Amino acid sequence: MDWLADLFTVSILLATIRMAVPIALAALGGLFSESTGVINIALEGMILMGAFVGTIITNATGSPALGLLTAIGSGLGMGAIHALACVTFKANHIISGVALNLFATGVTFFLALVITGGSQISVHHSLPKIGGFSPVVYGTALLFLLSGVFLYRTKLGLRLRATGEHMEAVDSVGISVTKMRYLAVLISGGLAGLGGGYLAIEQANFFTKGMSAGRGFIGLASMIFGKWTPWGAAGAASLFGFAQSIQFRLEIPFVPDEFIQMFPYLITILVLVGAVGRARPPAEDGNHFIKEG
Amino acid sequence: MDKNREELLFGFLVNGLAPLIAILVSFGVGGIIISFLGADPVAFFVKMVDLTFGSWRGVSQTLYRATPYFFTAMALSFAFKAGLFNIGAEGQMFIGGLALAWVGFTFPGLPAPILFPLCLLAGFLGGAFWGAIPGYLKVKRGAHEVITTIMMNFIAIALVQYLVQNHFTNPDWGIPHTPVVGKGAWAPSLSTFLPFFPSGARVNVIFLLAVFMAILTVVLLSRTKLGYEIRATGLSPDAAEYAGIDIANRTVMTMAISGGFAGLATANFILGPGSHYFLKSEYGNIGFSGIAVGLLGRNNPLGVILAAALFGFLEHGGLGVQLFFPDVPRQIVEIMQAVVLIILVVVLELVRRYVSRLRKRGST
Repeated sequence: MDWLADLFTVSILLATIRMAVPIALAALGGLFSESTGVINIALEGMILMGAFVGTIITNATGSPALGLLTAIGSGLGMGAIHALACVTFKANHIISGVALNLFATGVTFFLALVITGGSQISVHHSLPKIGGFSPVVYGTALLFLLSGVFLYRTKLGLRLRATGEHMEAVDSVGISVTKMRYLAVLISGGLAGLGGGYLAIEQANFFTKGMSAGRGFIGLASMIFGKWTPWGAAGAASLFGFAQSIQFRLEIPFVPDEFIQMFPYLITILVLVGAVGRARPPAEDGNHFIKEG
Repeated sequence: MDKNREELLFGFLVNGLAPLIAILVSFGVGGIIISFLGADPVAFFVKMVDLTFGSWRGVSQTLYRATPYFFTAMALSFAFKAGLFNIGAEGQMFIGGLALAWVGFTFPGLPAPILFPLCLLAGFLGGAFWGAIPGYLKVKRGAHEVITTIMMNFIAIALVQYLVQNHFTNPDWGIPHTPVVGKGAWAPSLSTFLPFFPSGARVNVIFLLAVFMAILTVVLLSRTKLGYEIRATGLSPDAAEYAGIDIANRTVMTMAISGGFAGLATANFILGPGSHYFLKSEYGNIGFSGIAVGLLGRNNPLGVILAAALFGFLEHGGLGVQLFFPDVPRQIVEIMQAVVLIILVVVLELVRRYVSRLRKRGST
């Protein structure tokens, strides 16, 4: 039973924190978006795009900080497209998300090939570590704290959440549902972009095609598991971070490597199956706002 | 404008014009990228058309490449009829494909009339099983099928990798793959019946199976009780339930049939002329691109055939044209596929708005 002790070492704890960051950021992003009732399936593509853009800019400018900033920017860009499609054009949220994911997958692979001739790009610089962790890790923790305060203690946060629960009511008091949704989806994209930038620049130190590997969807599962609250999402993301950290490090007897690789995805399904019965999404999730008169 | 002509116009705009616009825009974007890379876009596309439709060999290859897209697209489109989002075509394709190959190489001695249908059945059932699981989870526990099907994709990839690498492959082979399927399961090339196809043509009877299944699906959906119930569940689950339809059962069944379609996607490669074994790396884009094909085909089986043909054109043309335009990577095709999808989503919405404006004007 040595392997059981191996599960709870310091090195796995550290790895858990590092692996949890992109998932947590995606979860927070999903949370913001869904707080106004826009389903953001495109988190996966936003992470990938952030990873790619961050990689390219970091290598081109030598500054990982700039790389991270542009990663956020690319996430904002994709968020803008998703908001345009879903809020202005009233497209089906899920179809728009799937389309954006396909787009990001294709474009990043294509551009990586065109720019470097291969499908993997190393990142040559990263931010100096503080206490063994990238500053982004601390930044993420801070973002979660700020988000909790913002969503639950400020007027704007309340308005966002109200939009997700009852669009008519929000509109009747003169608040623009459109503006709330755009804001939320943009923030959502920015967070996911940051997650991707961190993934490539700080964690993996390279970009490869499809490297988001489901983290966007696992982030959504974290959000659901966390009952659409920031602290819940953070906890759930840590759980998934743990599942991912043992993926390649552990050798459990009788369990083949590939089965360990399945862990994060199996757990996500278990979460979705177990948790949704107990929590409910924002009431207006997926609905379009159509102004009467 | 009277009601009937209005419906016809609406149908034409949404189902015909919108995809056409999306395709044209995607070609436009592709053309721009190509000229950025220093090549001549017009010559590029002309060469593509020449390679794909300029010869019977080209047509054969185009249809050969199009066939799997039909199956994965139908996985999405069929589920859509019941209001379900099946993004799991990739995983269902792998599981179905492995099941298909397994039957083929485990019983290689069986004669063709038994082995061939048996393999196809295994492929369908494998994919159906993989698709039914998220369907069941949705019905029983409310788990959203978009995420569960995507998770099942990743699980399928790992599972198939494990099985092929550890149980089916031979260590002497370079890349892990399954043994060759028995001769009885080999799908004959269309050149055997249609002499205008050159003798080495890869397009095979699985393409005919695709056409047959398209027609079958149209009939199923429009003329059978099951089809009616599936569509009713998609249009309004509450109304359907009120009318006595077992929506839970229909949901799982739809996901199963949908997965079954995807399960057959690799039959074209495994049973058709070629390697005759299951090789995971050969099936790269087909699962996810099926989504674009399904939407482009407006979720209608006959439209999906056309959209699949387009993607076959892009793929075979894109592959061949690279020899003549070395500066343009093959992935331009993937970009165009993705652009088509995004533009389509937007154009559909614009068309819908235009038509509803027309309608409002017409009714006053």
